[in-house]
Amino acid sequence: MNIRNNIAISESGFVFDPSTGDSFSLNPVGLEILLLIKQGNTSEQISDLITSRYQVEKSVFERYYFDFTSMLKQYHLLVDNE
Amino acid sequence: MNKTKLTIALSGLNNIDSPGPGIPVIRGLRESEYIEPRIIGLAYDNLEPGAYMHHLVDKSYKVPYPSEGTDVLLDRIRYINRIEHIDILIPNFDSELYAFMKSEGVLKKMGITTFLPRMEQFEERHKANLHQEFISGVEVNVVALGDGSGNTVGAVPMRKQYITDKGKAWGGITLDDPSLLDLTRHIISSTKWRGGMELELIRNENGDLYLIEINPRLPAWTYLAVAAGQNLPEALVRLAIGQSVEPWTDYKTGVMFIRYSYDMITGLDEFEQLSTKGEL
Repeated sequence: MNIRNNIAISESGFVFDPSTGDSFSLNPVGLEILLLIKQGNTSEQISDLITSRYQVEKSVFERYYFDFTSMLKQYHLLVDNE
Repeated sequence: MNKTKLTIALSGLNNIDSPGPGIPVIRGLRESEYIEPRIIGLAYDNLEPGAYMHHLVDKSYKVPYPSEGTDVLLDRIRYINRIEHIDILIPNFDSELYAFMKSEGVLKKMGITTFLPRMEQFEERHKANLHQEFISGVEVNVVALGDGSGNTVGAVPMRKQYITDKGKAWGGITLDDPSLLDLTRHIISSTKWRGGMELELIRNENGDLYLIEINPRLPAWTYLAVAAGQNLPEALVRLAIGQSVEPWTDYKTGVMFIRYSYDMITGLDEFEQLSTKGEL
């Protein structure tokens, strides 16, 4: 899966979808994860990176990661790899 | 660049909570690189704010409501034209469009050019739907300009971000949505639409578009298109005087507008002048 290529992501965590006009705010960790997805990292790689940077259990992170990516899909920001 | 000096008369100066398109159209014309306009405001009411906005409107005249009859309206236009020598007339109210479209030839004889949809395009647009399934979704709009030969000179889609209790946009944002532009180009090419146009549509959850209405004029949010890089009022006037206008191929997405109200202070003498003499 990847971020739709016309989605604008600012350094402040402001996300703008130009096809719907919707905008979203991410906290710093959310932004970090979104950028890791955008860079083409797999879920496994993202989990390894985040759990190495922050004190969080892999199972806990993956649960939140699943929720987060589900929400991104719901808002049509994330698409399965084409 | 030498700008073309033109006297342009237009209505829709009611810049109120349900605003007319007059003031946004004037703002576009004032920013034109090609035109140096003298703006003649046509006001139906003594309290249309645009008549008092002297930095935008050079002179205003009261005009009779179209319901009083086309001849009465044309007599008043004839009087104004004797003083002002109008080059272009841009009606901005739905209710007056019929009268002005019907009078294209009469106006031409006065030396006044319009750039309006033809009568058959106007009629085609409002075939009544007696039954309409309720469509839930997001309202999206497109402002566009057709050259009358089937070409889309410009088109900018927008999503309303804040809607007033009158259903008017108080905030909006330009969208990057090729399907809206394709639909607009299709409508303009199949009808050979001439003049400004606003499409009002609903996009449902599946992404399907439903056309609600076609307004045969530039809308009150036209200035958003100007700010996004397409000065459609300027292009409309240039087409009206026979200049060729290169169609726009892009615009800035993510440009927003936010309306605001503002208490403009004016003197009783100005109100008196417009209400008694019909001119300001």
